[in-house]
Amino acid sequence: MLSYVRPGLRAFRRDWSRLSQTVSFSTDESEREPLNKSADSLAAASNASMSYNRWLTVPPSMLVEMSIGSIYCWTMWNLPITQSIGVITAAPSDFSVSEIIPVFSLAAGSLGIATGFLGKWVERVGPRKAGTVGAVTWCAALCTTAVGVEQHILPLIYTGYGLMGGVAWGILYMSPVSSVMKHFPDRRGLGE
Amino acid sequence: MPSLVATGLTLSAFGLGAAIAPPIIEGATNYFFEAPNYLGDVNVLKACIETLADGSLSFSPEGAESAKQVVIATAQEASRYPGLSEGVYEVGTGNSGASKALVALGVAYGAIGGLAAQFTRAPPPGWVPEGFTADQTSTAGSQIGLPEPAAIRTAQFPLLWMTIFGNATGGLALISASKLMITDIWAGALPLVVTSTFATGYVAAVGSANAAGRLSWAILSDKLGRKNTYSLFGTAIPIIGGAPMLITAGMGMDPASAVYPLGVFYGGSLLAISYYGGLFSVLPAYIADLYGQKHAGAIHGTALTAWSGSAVCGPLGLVYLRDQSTQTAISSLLEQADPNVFHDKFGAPIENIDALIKSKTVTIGKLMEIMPTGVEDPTPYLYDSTCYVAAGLLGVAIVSNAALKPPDVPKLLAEIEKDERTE
Repeated sequence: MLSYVRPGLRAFRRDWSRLSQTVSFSTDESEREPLNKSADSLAAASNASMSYNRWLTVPPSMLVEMSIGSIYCWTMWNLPITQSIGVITAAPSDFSVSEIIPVFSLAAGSLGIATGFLGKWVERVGPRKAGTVGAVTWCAALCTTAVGVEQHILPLIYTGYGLMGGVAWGILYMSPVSSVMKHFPDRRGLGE
Repeated sequence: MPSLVATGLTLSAFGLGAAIAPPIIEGATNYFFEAPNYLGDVNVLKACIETLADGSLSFSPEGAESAKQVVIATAQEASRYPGLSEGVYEVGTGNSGASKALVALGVAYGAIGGLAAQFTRAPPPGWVPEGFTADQTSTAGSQIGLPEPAAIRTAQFPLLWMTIFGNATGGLALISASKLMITDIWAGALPLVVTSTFATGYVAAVGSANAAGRLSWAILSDKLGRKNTYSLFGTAIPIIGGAPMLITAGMGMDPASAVYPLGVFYGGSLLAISYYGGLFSVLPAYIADLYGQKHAGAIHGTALTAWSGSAVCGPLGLVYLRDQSTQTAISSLLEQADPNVFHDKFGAPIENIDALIKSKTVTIGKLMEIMPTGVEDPTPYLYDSTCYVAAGLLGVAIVSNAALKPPDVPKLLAEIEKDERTE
């Protein structure tokens, strides 16, 4: 699923010397040697030093995954959103359940498209930048949904949780898994 | 082994996020909830409430200059909010808490995800773990593999696609509406058990079962084989197809006994959701078994269009079937309703039913309040048709999987090579 980056040696040395100055982590694991010295560099994806303890990337990667996991819980919003005007029960102008449940479908569809379009981008920019963009998108998605609920504009809810949420889902799901699997390459992935 | 732990931890964190979110969302929504203005008991205020042509309710007490739009909450609706009782409430007052909770969680999730992302690292280019050689990245059979375009043209691919689609659609329908479903089906029979907190716990359990299924079925499939694991998922057919029967049985029981069918429903649906998780964690390895490891990633990407199909059809199908069932149920209730009692209750004749339904002034719950004793609440059965369709689709998936025989990859590759040479 994830192709390994095969950089040029020069680009690698430049990148390594730059990063090893800024990133200094303990050397729990023995020194690492680059194996592949072929052409074409995608060095931007790298931001760990050669002596980086790979386990250090697991807890923050887990937190990134946890922050997007709640997108699966759209059902929790069904009731308060379908009663946002009537509050205790649905008012005539409240959104119906049938209008609100499909937001999840839209998010999932948007995820599918985002995975297709953004997969290579996530690989190129690395987990830090991708994770930052994903987190901002997820925050913006929920806030857009909130405006849609507050102002009672259904397309904003579809755009927020649906379209933007799906994009955030794709980025925040892919980028930690991708970088962890690069750190731990000796196994097939556990899938989507 | 360390790789299994690291990848497993990262992937299950997504599921963990889904499992802990329901109580957080519930807590945030309750925190920002503001009760609407209570105007009084419906029987006292009845004379001042007028049902307008569009079905909405207008309240104009004697001496008041302007009318207020109101809603009438049933006892069951009011019971979801501590301290509120059934009766007449003013529209436009109070706050459901949804929008503020969305902003609060958006900021919190954005901050946690964004901060954590600053500490994630990709390895330097070309880095591999110590004592690791390049050909370890791939398992046996990795040297060959059918390219994605050729793989999609094989007869096996549509079967695989149907296997995924048929399996995932029911799961996604349940995931998109789990809180609504457990409440609609069981809250009537067991109001003291199936509270809002209980339903929130169920959503969390669904998230956990999804994550647990991913891990455990992936591990078990190493022993059972991928195809057999998928066949095993067929045991969800009686679970899903039998759910309506179970619900019917539960509704006929007194609350003390009805907890047992509820327990079976709860456990059965979680098992079915674990299959949904297992479906996706086993898939990459299944694809590698069928088509070889070399291009499995690309084939996996295309096969996941089946998941996208399910994500659209599952929730939309549920909404459609639930709407159909609701209409049928309301029609059947209206046949048994006394027109005078109806007029008295809703302030409009039965003939105006379309506007009254559209404005949500008439719902199954509100109709039930005027039904003669002995008429059963149809709400728990609103998902029967969804269950049958989901079980049917799962049947198609199991047959497709049974028909899946691995293609002769070396032969197909030789054919491709031959074609290229002749061209």
